[in-house]
Amino acid sequence: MEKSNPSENKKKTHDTIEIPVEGSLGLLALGAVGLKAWRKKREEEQLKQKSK
Amino acid sequence: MDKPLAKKVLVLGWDAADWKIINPLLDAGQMPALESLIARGVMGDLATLDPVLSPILWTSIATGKTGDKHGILNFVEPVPEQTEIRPVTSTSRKCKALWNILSQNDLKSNIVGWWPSNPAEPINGVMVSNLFQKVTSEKAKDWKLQGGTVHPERLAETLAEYRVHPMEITGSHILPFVPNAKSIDQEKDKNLTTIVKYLAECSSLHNAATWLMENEPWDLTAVYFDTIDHICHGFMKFRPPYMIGVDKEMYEFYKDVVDSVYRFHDMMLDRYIKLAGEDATIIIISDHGFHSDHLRPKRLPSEPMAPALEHRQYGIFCMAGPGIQKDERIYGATLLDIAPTILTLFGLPVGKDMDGKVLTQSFEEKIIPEYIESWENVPGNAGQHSSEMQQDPFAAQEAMKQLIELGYIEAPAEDKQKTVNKVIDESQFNLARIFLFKEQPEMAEPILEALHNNSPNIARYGLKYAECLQKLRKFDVCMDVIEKLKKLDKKDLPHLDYLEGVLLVSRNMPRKALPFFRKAMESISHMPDIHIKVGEAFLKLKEWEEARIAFNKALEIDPENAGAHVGLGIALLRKNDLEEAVDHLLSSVSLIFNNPLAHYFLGEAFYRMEMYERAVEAFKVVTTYQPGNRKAHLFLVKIFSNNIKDPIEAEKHKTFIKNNIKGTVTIVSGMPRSGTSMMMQMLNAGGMEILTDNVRLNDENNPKGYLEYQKVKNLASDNSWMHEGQNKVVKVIAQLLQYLPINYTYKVIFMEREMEEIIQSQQIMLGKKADVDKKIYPTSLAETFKKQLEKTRSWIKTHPQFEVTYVSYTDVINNPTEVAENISLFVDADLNIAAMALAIDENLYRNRKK
Repeated sequence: MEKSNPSENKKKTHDTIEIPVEGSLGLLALGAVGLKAWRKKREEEQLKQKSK
Repeated sequence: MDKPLAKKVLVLGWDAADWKIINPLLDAGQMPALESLIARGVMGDLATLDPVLSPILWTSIATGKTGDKHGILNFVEPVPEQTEIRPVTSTSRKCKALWNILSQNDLKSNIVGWWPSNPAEPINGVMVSNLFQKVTSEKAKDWKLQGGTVHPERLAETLAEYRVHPMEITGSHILPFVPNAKSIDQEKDKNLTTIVKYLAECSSLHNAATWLMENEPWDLTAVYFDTIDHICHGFMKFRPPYMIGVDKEMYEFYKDVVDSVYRFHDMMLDRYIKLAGEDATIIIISDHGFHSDHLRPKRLPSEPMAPALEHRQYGIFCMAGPGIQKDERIYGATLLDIAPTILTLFGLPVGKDMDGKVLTQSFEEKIIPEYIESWENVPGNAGQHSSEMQQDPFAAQEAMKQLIELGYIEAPAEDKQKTVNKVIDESQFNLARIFLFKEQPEMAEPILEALHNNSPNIARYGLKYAECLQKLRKFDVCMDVIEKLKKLDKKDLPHLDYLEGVLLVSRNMPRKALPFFRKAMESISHMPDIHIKVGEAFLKLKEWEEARIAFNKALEIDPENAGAHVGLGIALLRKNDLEEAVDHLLSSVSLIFNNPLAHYFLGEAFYRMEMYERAVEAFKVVTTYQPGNRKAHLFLVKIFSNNIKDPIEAEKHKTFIKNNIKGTVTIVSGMPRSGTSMMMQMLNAGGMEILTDNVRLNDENNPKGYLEYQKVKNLASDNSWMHEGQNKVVKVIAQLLQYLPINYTYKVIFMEREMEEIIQSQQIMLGKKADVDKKIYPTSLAETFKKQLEKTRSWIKTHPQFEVTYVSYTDVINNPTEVAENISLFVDADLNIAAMALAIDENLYRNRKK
């Protein structure tokens, strides 16, 4: 089995930030960009719920 | 300085952050961002000031000045109309803060949440005030931004959007703080609401700061967070180890809250490090620490400012960036040093009127800071409020009072006025504490005297007043205050016993002090200070083992007590346990560096261990803080002459002593026939050198001799010979004390005796024994003498070069050993007590008052 490169894994984690609808401390800690992204996600989710 | 040392500076203020909590989290890898900063920077304790009240302290951080100069003295202040109170405002600050100085040097600052900064000042850059994050409505949609919270106004709307309302906080945010939150009955237990509120406020400030860092140019960004402090006040009692008396269920729910808030701050720090970039200098500070162990108070008294009792004396300091030392610890920093250090980072001079110093030890290269007299008079737009807006709320109170008295303004309702008056009193009390902290008891005295006289039932005022009087060596008044306080609430008695003990130690009566300390200890033995005072009493008595035990007790309670480490170091030094002594003295200076006493004994210990280079280092620190410390200079002369063999350096210190330091002259004074010759005999027997020409020989009035010096008689016309008295004892009658030259220091042993006895003895000496036998008493002469004595005492009080101890003639006759012991302590010499006591011949007490 081919071993994964830990540094690549690390990079992936940093590049893609998961934004849960309910938010997270990690997002709050990101500051303005985190809040903006979370609120956007929340709005998208609300729209989805409305359209159902 | 040719160019700035930093391109930009980021300051993060974490109110109440404490290494005692951080260190275990660092060890567990739970604060990786802070760990990375420490690895590439310096860290250390940041000593706080007194009183430990955050608005005062954060203003001192921003100005480099103590509260008496910056004018912020409380959490609240009266409104200009004096009809009610409000949170303290930026308009009450009396001097320039860092951001004002940077503004007038064309540097941009982003200041977020600083306490107090509302209304926002029109600085070069952006200011988001400390009211920005405060939630004023239950619903997010109704939450309006208060006017004056953002400068410039163009950013108000944008930044307001980044505020987080508590309603937005979800379970996902809370669970890391309270993992079992779902089991909490929120109808009964409102603690989750508290956490939500603080988390929302913290996030609002963090969002504003991060947005500004990304979108606005800046040279200085300074962000203040009070979340750790608030969370600690609410939840420290639940943090392990379990505190007896705390509800066990609550303990289980909330035991992780404190550590979690630190972890959250580390997560935010990670973001700041990335936004600041590698070329920024990052500084993390706290204004004080927070007791997290057995020193957590079990209950707080119901008095203003009581929560401050939970604060610890040391906050945190960490700085990393280009040119800053790597992975080093620095010592002796205080929060007054932050502003001067930041000015130096920007290549700007430090105001000489600032109370702090530049933390030069933090830099890789040797830094020589530049200075100007003051930034206050430097013209240019400093981004301050207009002079109409700036107002001293306490001065305004006086103006308002006058207008009310003249009938122009209606007096506020009685209850409101009471509140306003209370705030004014507390602010004055804080001002007095600041003066005491600055070792300016003479400035604190009138304030405390007024507070004590106006509110004699408030024990805090009286206790502080007594402490002030003790520092001023106004022992009689101090004792009067203590006696009055004893009649108040019994719960203050232990503190009064403690104070009375301190008073007796100051009066060189340590043995008499011990019973008072023992009595106080029945109630306040949990306080390290009482053990330190007991230790100091034993040091004075030269009972080293007892002193060691007392200081050890203080350290068992508080292992980081600098005063206890010094005391223990001295006791061990005297017991010849040199290595242990050095350990404790080093611990002390690492906690509080600017303590010349600790450095002096460290020098002595190194000298005795033949570690001469280290001894020189220590003695040089002493002479930096106390250029007139003769003993330290003498040690340096000895080491440079005999050990290190540097004759140039030895000569330098010799010359310095010769030109600048006058020695101490011991004076025996009092009325003629009050026992002055007897005291001279005692000191002579004890081993002190007497300045006498033996012209006046013994006679039947003084069978053991007068030990006088003829030149003293002409003191009023010629005092040029006083150098002959250096480090010797000279007899000078009370009426001539005022003619002593002022450029020496004097230790005066002032003899006291019943006036009737003095007059009788004088009359007999003058051959008027018949008058005495006929009981002819010269009343008017006695009155004149009494007045002269009163005048002399008052004169002495106003002359700081005189240190006085008053000795009763009858005490010498009745308790010669105890008096000899006290005198030996007063003159700070190792005298032969037994020989001194033997010099007293009770049979000479011939003119007793009948």
